[in-house]
Amino acid sequence: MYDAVLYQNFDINCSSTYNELQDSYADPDHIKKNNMTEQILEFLEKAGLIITVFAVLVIVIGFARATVRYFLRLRKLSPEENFSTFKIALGTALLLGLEILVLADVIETITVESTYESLAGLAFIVVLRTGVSWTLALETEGHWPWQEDAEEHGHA
Amino acid sequence: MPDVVHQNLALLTQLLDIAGAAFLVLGFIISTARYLIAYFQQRDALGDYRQALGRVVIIGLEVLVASTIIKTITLAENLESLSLLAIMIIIRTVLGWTISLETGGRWPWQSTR
Repeated sequence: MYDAVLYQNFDINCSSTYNELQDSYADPDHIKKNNMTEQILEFLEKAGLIITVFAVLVIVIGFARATVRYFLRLRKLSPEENFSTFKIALGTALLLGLEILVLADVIETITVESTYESLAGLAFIVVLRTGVSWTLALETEGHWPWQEDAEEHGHA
Repeated sequence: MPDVVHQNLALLTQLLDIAGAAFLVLGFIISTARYLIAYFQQRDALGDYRQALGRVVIIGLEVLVASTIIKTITLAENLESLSLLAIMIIIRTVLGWTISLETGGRWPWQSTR
């Protein structure tokens, strides 16, 4: 009798998965993709990965370059000047890397099934990039991006 | 809606997705190549490079939003896809605003100085 119940359950499970399978074929989002689109999506996935690696390389190389320059300028510039140049160089490398990461992430939202998680990741990177960009602009130009340039305004 | 229309619209959104992605990849390659050429010619083109990347992202996202809007026709009963579209549109709009702020120095709703 136990076996019969088990078999019955198994049967129910089987039929439910079969129904799900049929539903997924009826769903326009799950139509059988032809071979070419699949290959293109695979290629795009690789391209997104390469761009992500490129962005990481931009950050790492930018940091290494800024550090080397910091030590080379140790005797030429005053400590304050050298430090601020170093800080701006680090921020610029970070900003460029984040900008490229945004591009790679937008490609990833196509190749990866778009979910709340992947879109939240994209939104988070955009917020992060914007924050770094604004604070960097504040440090290099002395005002927020939405404020008018005080000197420019004085001349006008 | 008939099944044939659904399937063709789904295929169309896939093609739009691929077109947007291709634009992003090609735009990235071209702008990076141009920056590297300028870099080896001892020109400082970092600002131009960042602006080119921003423009590529704006146009690419515009194409992707078009495909997402068509998806809401085929999947109109699905609340999840609608909210994903909403999130995508918010990201695109905010990104467009901040990039135009960084390149032009003002918000899109501010008049030109």
